[in-house]
Amino acid sequence: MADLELQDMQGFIARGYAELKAASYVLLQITSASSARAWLATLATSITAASARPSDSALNVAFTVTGLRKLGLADQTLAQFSNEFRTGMTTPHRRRTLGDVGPSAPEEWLWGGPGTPPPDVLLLLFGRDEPTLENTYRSLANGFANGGVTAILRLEAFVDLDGKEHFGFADGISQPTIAGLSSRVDTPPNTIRPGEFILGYENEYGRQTNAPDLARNGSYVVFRHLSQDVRGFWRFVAAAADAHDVDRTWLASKMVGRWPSGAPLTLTPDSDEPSLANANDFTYQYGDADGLRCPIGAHVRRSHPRDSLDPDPGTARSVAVDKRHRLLRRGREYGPPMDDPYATPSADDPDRGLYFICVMANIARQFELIQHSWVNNPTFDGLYDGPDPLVGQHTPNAAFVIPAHPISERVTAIPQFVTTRGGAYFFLPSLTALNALSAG
Amino acid sequence: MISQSAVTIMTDILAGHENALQKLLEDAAADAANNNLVPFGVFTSVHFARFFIMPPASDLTGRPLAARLVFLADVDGAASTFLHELVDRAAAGLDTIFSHCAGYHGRSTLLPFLHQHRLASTAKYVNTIGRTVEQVHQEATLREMLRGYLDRHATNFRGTSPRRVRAALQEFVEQEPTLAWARRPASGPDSAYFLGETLHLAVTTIAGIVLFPLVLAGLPLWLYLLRRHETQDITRDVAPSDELVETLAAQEDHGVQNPFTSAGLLKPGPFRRFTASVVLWGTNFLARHVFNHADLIGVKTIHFARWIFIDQKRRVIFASSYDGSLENYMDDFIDKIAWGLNATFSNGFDYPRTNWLILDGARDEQIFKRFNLTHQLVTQFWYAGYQGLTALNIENNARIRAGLYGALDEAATRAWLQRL
Repeated sequence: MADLELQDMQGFIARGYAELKAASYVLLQITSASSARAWLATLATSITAASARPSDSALNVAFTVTGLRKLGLADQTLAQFSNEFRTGMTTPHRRRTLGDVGPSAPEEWLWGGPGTPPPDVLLLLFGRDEPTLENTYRSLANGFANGGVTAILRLEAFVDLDGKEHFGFADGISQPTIAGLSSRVDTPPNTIRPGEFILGYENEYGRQTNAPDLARNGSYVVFRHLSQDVRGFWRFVAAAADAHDVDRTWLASKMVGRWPSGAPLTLTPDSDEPSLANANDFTYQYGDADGLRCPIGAHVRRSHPRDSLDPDPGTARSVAVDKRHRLLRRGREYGPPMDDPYATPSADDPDRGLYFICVMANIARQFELIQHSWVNNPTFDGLYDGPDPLVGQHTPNAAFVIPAHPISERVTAIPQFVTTRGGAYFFLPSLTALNALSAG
Repeated sequence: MISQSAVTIMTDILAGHENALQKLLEDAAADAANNNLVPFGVFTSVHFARFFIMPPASDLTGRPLAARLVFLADVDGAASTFLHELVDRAAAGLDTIFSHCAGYHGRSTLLPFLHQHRLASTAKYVNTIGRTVEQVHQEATLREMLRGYLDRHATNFRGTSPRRVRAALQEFVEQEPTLAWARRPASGPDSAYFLGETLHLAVTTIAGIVLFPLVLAGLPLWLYLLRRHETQDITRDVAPSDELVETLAAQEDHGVQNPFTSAGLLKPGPFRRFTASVVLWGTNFLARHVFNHADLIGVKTIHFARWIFIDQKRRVIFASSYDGSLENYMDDFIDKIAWGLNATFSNGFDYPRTNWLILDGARDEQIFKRFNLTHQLVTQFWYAGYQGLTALNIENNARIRAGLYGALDEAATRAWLQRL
């Protein structure tokens, strides 16, 4: 296997900079191509590479297709990027498959939709703490005007929820390990060939994802601005738990597939077990094929089915399918933590949610397939009317089945708890490509 | 038992009429069940139906191939019965459609015109042979009503034995007059059907044994020719334009089922024509006798599929009705039965290069997906007789009905209850 050229890759592929607690995502528009190219040439010298381990701050940069076009990338080269990247997140077909309809329709978005200026550049900025981040941002922002770019929006993720997301569950536990990235050894099912995430390397089909030469050591980034209705979620769960005469946390954990600590229901079905909080080496087929522990419809089971899908559940053939649909998740929460979801909210109840950001080499086969065929699909793995109870797009008949003996129980009329408020597909270039782009 | 028929009608489109016809079909497609052209909702025997236009093309020698209108339907019972009913109930709409087609002489000739333009399927796949539209609907209703009953009594049933829950469900069905039909099992294959199929299998097997020495004798030559073709064939990797991708995607993912329609030229020469004929004959044979119930070698998402030779075996149409997205459909095939795809499609012009007929080919994921997209056709009109139900749902519903009565032991009863 080819060695990974870490010094040429942006650090965002290798890590989410968890130790840098504050993050800003800055959306820019290019107003002057020539100034922007000069600005980029300087910016390139401050970009954090995958070979670095920053302890103070980090900076990475990605571009939409309009950004690459404005920077003067030839049509012929642009045409070699994927159709998803070129045509974007808001085509009529993608609205349907990603679930961006109704309140999630791009017309309602804060950014990335038809009513707001199209972003060209995304700056991914991280700092040890808020002041450090502010300093870095200020010195960068000073260069925007002369650099031919204007800030459209600055999204801030300063919140630290102690490893949990806003609904109250540990997040980001199941991350794939990129083969050859570090000396860390992971289980074979969770060790994924680099070409699934980095362009220019072999993927799980033993091929390279088609892309222009310029894209080598680069990757695609999917960014979704997801608002979470935390009050709505817990109030619904409380009412449903009363109606079914069960415990609230138990019911919510069934919907997630892990307990609040992160412990998987498949390993500890009856109560939370903090010692299993980070457990990730488990399968579904032997011991939990019917979902009596972790329901088939649960969020974690459908977004990462492990060995549970055809062909031949429980075998390497099934795992091979799962390995072709993995994501490097790099998202962060935004908005203040929720103290008491049952309390009456103040008039200016702030928005809270997740900047869902993930890195992959094939948007159609990875992010889009997971979102459409697994998360939003009401008929996933033989279900009826059962989209992801937590994050899926819900129609009025959305239901969640909890397998049990003698009969499974069904929670019905589940409202939608997550609304899309922005998003776009980006390309994260290598440092070599960044220099080429700045040279025009 | 009623088994399903695959109806195919293909006609040339009059020069200059393509756009008008396309508009007509697209307008009707907005409400496939109730439009005033052909309101398919009135036909209780139709599983799926579609109209599509094949744009004018040319074969490998440059000979032009006229634009075509193709009508496909998967129906319960005999094709001739369906065509009769179709003309009976939608003559005006069909007249409007076929007035754009060559050789059509008005409403009084509609039925003979349809018969005259019928094509036989070269191979066809039916998810479950003999399961009617009526049965699909009835069993979906049964499952919904049983589930509703359980929802109303869920907490009462906690700690109850599976046997008692099943007895309660049986009692519920017995007290529900609209479910009277569910007290009997679905009508399985009758003895005439069973005899016919057994006879077909037996005769074919005997013929196979008799011809086996001949096959064996011809095999070295066939393999030699295969390898020569495979190493010398030109295969172009053509990328679909963004416009094509968007046009095709516009008709997809409005529900859980999708239509797939495609057409392509065969590679030149008698060897490929011969090989394609043999492979599709074999495909049809296996689909009829082996993969005739809910599972095509691990792929459980296809309702119906067919291959049709047209233009003196210079071209093939492939069409299917399947569950999920096109991306998922293609991944399913690549991951599960790439060898089968290779065997049935690799005689097609530009198909990604195979080795020994079944190796490689579709295993090159991206080239295969591009090949698929560049051979896909827009399905201007598509009707689905039971929207929202996947093939997996339908099979599960059938098993719920099958397990409602009859002897089940404790473990089987528990497993049956989990299906609800």
